Amino acid sequence: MPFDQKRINGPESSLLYTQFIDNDNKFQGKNLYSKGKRVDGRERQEHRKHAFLLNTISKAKGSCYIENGNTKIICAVFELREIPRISKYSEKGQIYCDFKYAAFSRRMRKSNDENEEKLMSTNIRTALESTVCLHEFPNYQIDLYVMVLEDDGAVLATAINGSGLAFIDASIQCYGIITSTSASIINGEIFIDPTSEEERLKNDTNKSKSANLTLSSISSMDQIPQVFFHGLADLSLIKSAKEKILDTNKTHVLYFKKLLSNKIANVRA
Amino acid sequence: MAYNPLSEAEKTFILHGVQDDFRNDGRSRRDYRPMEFETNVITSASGSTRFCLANSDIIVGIKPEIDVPLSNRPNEGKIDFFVDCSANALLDFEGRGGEELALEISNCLRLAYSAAESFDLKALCILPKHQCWKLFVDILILQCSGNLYDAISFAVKCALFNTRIPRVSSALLDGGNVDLTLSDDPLDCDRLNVESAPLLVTTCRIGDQCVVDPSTEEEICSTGSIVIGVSQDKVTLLKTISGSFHPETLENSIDLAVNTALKINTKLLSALKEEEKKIGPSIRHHKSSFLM
Repeated sequence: MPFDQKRINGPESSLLYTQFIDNDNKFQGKNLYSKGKRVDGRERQEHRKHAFLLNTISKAKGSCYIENGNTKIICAVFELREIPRISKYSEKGQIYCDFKYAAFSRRMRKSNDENEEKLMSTNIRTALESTVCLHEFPNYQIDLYVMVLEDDGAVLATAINGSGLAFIDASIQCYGIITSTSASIINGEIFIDPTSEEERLKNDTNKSKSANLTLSSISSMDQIPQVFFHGLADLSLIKSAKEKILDTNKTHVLYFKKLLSNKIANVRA
Repeated sequence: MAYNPLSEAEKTFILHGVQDDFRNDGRSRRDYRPMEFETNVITSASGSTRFCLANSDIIVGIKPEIDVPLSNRPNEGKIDFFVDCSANALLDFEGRGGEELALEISNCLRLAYSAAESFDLKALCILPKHQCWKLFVDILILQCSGNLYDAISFAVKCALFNTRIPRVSSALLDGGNVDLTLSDDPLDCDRLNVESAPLLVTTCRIGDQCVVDPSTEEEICSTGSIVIGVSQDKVTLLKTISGSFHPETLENSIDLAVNTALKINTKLLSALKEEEKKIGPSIRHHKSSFLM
């Protein structure tokens, strides 16, 4: 189980060399936010530049390639098929989500952490189950494949954004445009759209009470289909992080709508 | 979870009951069903408990093993959760049916226990960089009557309280090899600090209101459910299980869950301490049989 039997694995006891280097002090402690700006020059509430491209995979019914800073994710939605292996008729359709990290995407070469991938799959599926009109295709299943090409933080949020857009590209009826943002709570302050170093801060320095919150919302209907938080934080901080994320999501919807309508205009022309 | 056919009338009845703050069994929206637990039920495990939440029946066994700590966390031990949904619990769990749910529950536990402040892994270290304890927490679901996440997290907390880790009296590093000497006395053990071990609380949205501890029927009627992990007064996990929430409802659910968890935490810890005082660390001798 710990090793992927289908791949040739490197030696069992190989280690990442970076843990033998003295951690440069960029992310340890004060330099992160003392001057009001983060290491990459952003404000605390500032989101990274992001872009997406639809219909990148010609064979898929709908697809989206989304970039969020350095995080690159590709999502593809395939044709409907009957739900395999069920005995009774299901009145609602189902979504099957398969989430994978490319072996080169993270700091450590694929550590075969199936648990992590399954967790992400369930989160994405939960988010989309409330977005997509499942009653439109009873007894059918839509396959969604998400592949992370590079992980530089906010992977879940970017993946949900990309998946929502892929469904729209596939012309599958949805209740609204789902947008998602991640926030890190480090030492009592909220940082929107953390990079992977900012996210990792919580793992290495246990003293800082940092945590990570990803929240998706369908702003047009004022619904939150998915929330995922882990770490340790005060309730009040989580609430204010939630408010900030909801505002960020709202602004993103306008941006997505604009680009989607451009795409439709181009298709028509 | 289970295929429990409910008619529309029954669903409406449950919905109205929740609105009036008077559920099917007479509980308010904030009440839990009666719970019972017994620790030290499995002799071969270092810590064990049998936990019953209404009709849900969970057995947790904890075994410590000696392991090498992770290279990037040399001072910490490890904890590993494994959930086994027995087919006895629900017909859906037959064969590999329960695997997905089991994986979700174990993931939730793993995330809730990952924060250093909720569970101190440094206490499981024997010799930094060389040896540490790895706790295998094995959870068996014998019977399920809704609200598995909560029942399992309470059971795990009880089992961790009950766990006795053999005391290492000396650890020598002899040219790369570690020589451990464990104390001979089986009662000479270390205990774990579970004051801040997280509790998972599931809140369901039924109609416009949020309820804690949904029964199986209520789970079927719910339009959204979220698991909230609470450690002392801090939140350690938030995860939507299904459905969607309005932002205000979400806030109310989290508030409700945190308040409920705090109360349960105090009650649970006092009950655990009382049980230990009354019965002591001895092995249980059941008059009739184990489960009866």
